Amino acid sequence: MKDIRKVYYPDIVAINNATFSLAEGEIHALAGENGAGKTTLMKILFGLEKADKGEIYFNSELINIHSPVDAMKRRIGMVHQHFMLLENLTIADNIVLGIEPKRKGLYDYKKACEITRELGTKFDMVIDPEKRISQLTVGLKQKVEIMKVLARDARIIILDEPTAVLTPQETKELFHQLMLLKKDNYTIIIITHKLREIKEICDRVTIMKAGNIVGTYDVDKISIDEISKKMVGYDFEVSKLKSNVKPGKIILDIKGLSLTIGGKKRLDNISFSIREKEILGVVGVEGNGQKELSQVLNGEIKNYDGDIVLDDFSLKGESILEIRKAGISYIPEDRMVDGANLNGSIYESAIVLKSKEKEYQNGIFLNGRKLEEFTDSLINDYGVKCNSKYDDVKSLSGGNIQKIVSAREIVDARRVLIANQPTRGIDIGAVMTLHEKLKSLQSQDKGILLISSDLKEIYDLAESVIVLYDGKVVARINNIKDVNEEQLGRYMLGIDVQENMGASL
Amino acid sequence: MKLKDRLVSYSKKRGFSFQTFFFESLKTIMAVLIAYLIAIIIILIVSDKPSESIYWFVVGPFSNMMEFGELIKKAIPLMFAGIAACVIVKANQFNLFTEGAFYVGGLVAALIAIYIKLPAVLAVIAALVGGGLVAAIFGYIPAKLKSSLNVNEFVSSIMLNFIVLWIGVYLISNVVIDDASGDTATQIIPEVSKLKILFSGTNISYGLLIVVGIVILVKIFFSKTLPGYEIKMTGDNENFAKYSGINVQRRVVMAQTLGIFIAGVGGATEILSNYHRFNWKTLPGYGFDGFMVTIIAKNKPLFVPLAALFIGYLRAGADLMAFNSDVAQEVVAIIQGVIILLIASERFFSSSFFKRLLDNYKERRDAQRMDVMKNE
Amino acid sequence: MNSFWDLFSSVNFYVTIIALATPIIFASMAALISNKAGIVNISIEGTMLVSALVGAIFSTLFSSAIMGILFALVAGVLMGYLFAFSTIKLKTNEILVGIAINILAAGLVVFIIYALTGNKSDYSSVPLKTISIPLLRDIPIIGKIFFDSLNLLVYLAIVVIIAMSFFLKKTVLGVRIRSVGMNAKAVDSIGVSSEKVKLIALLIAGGLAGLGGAYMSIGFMSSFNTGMIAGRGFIGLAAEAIGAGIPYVTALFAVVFGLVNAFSLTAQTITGINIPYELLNTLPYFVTIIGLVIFAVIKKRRNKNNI
Repeated sequence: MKDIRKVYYPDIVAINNATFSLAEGEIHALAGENGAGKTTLMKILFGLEKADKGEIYFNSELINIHSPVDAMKRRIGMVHQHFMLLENLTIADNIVLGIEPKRKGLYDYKKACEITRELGTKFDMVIDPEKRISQLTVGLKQKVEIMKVLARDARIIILDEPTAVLTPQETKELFHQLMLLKKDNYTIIIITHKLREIKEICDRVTIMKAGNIVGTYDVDKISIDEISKKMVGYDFEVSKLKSNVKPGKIILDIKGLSLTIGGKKRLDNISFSIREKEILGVVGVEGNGQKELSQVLNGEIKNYDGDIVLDDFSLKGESILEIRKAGISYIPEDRMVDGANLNGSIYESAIVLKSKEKEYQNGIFLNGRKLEEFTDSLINDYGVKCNSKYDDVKSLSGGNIQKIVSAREIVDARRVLIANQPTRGIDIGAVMTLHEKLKSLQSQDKGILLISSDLKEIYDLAESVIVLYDGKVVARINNIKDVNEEQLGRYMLGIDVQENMGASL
Repeated sequence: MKLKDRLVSYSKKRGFSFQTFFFESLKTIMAVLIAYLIAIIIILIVSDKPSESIYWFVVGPFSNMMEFGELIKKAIPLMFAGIAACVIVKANQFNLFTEGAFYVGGLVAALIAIYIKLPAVLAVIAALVGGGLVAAIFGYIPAKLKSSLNVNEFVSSIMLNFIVLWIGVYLISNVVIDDASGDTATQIIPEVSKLKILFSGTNISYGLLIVVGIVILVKIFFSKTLPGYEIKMTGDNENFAKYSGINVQRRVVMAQTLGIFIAGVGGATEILSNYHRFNWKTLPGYGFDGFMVTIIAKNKPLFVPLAALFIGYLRAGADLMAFNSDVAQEVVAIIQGVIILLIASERFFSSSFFKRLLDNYKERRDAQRMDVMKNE
Repeated sequence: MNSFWDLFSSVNFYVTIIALATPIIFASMAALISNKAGIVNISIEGTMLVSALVGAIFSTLFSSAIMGILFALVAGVLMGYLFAFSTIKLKTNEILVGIAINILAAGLVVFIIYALTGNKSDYSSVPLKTISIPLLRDIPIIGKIFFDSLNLLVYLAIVVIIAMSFFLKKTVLGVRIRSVGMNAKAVDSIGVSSEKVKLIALLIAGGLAGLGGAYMSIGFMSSFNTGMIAGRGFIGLAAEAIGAGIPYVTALFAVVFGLVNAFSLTAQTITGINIPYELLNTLPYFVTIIGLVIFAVIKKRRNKNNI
């Protein structure tokens, strides 16, 4: 792949200029932080996304890949991070879908089972082809995905974050099977940010950062620390925003949260607290419990163990509305779906919280004048670029949508703000605005929980930080100045665990 | 400032896009034209005197005041049904009990008028509100089943339609029947409870004022009150509503019940305006019509009366055609079906479709220019 | 007839049950295959209505019930295509398309009858003859019910249930239809066009609804009238929901519906019961709502247990 460039409409450069090459029979790691462009690059190779620029050569021949069908013709297969499986069908059904064996014109299910068993043998595993997908563990589902690709005769297999959802044992098994495939001269690309895995199994590693290729290295000749540095390394200077606020008393106390979904522990005995005037950063590689933590804290998930205490009042089992009333506001991760109403106007998305307050009502009516003023003030304070407050939300850029969502929530945060990836994928100007606003909120005796996968953001804003790995808090750093980003990276990637945490990996 | 600039600046202030409005209007007009074309072809095929048929169909409703009044009279229940459906669809629900609500509302209004003696204005109000309330109580059932058990409101509301129909038929043929009528019907509705004619020389009753009032109230409800706003947010994006702390389930039930109440009042108005006795032995069909009207109105309350007038015009014209020539008025159903299919579709004449067309045209034009320049 | 016993011991009662269950079976199988492909198809009602008329017209035209059925089938497939084209190609909301088609159908049939005959409600047909099978009809009770007084379409309905179950499980197309309904993206991701699969499912659904319509005007009665479908298409949808998408369970509810319907039609003749027929007429619809509620409660419980 040469000089690939991909720009998402209207202004997000996903891939700037990437050149990537693959040798037959190798296991090649594609490493980089969230949003570095790894998945996008691979989706271009698999025909799911179109590159705006660049060429793809296959055995030195220039080829066009417009769709997954083209990719499959070149015997390229991809296992997506989110599985594309049919839950109520059996393993065999899933594997042969689209290439069904037939006998006398009918679907030959027996043959499908045979094919599945054969693939299983090749893979060194005993598999019951007649089991339904819904009964399988995540690890097995992933294997079905890989077998689906193999059944279509792929020789190049792209795996997107294959171990993100696996237990250590399942990971070990997967690696064993990938080695078997390698022996059969299959070529494998693994998208990952788990460095130990790269060391363990890969031949070469290509590192991406912010849409660019940092370089391709032989794994033997590069250390974990070097990879980590190249992945997360910033030219970071101490932020001007950083103020010397002294945190006050504890506002929000999280006590021993545990949550199990689908047999996997998503949260494992998590405890921490937030003080007044404190921005507590939550970092971790995506999929290590951040999503579940925010779902528990905002009231979406109620059947957890442990307790959430706000100013000495337990919020356990309270609804979203009750939690908001108690003074916790929430910037959702997915602004397009959960944060704003894309089918409505800016005004409608802006007033959703204020409209409930008596102050903004006139008897049975909403106080339109006050709400309009409120919306205008949000638009002005945050510099939202729009013609008027009645513009459709969907006509705005991502940064401007996020400004509206954040503005609404920041203004409403009476005690605590939970900000989940508040600046992901938005332009630098919007990021600056939001950072300033978070800081000014902090100076008002409020606590902020900042869940972010952007380490620079954490360093810019947070006083203290906790690191999540596999649903556990593996490190708590009370003064972020005490830890350099390299060490933080080691916690995030599960290389190190802080001693007093007592968590075992 | 020039008028055009003024309009543009005003529309910008209200978040109103001329481009979108233009394309949406063009789409509606295209849909209507295509539907008319189909209807005219059909008339040409089946009619022995097609020009006469088409004349009555297209021009008939405007031929005199009485006929124009007939158009309005036909549009009134459509406005009721349309605004009722509009409220329900705002919450992204499809509770078809608007149909049964017309029946229940009409029956209950007739019974209140006949059996409860009240002074003039009060008698009308009691009948209208009573009809609406009883309908709303029934309409609450599918709404509640949807919100708490996720029972498909569409299917359950249709079943409920048949249930209330048969209960109603039972009542008017056994319990509240007036044997003197020579029909299965209630007693005569006393004059004091009836809605009088609004404009003499027509058949337009005060029902027109009632429905216009309701349309305005609904508009205010959605743009100025908290429940209305929350219903709209719930229908637009349930996730957003949920995360913002809106009680999604309560709003879903509220929208359906409110819509059904309006439909019930619509049934009451229809009976008190145009009938001497309540004698419906089938469902009136306004429930489905209402959803059709609100589709054409793009689910905007203030457009509902316009859409209803349009359908009223179609039907008045078709009636005249059927009366004066040899084509059945049901040709209207074909026009209606085609129009909704086209208007509701996202792909047919969408603004992006136009933009693509425009882009293609520009590309081709540019290419041609290049060719011309080369040749020169 | 004068007691419950007489009612339940009469062969006619059971024949009536089967006769009333048959259109629901066709409608529910149409709903089922649409739903398997992930589409809520409310146009079945209108499709049945149009097909019922087309069946009646062509049965008289050719003086052959079979020709009537064939043309009703074709009409159903065409209506299915209209629904599929609007939802898949024009990307219109399926409920809105369904409403549009139902409105269209209701007017279209009156229009056609009027253009053909000058009246607005009825059109007589050449009905199907009942089939009496020698030997089998002599089996006590069962013979009288199943092999002496049913017509071709009733047997076809039974075949359709079995064939549907077989088709969805054992054929490539059937598996693909189910796959599309579960996760259309997953199907597209492996290079099979989910739109094409949906189209085929909707055409089959249209055809089944067409047979259901033909049954009403050719099999059940000997004429078409505009009110004859009376929500049977919608009840088919309900039956499908109650049957949780399993053909045999769905058919079972159709039979329960037939039983209640037959009971409501004949119960007044029982002495000692003084329920007017209008109220008895509400019974089938009540049973349908109750069925939907029971199904929903079971589903909710099951979901709870899974968490």
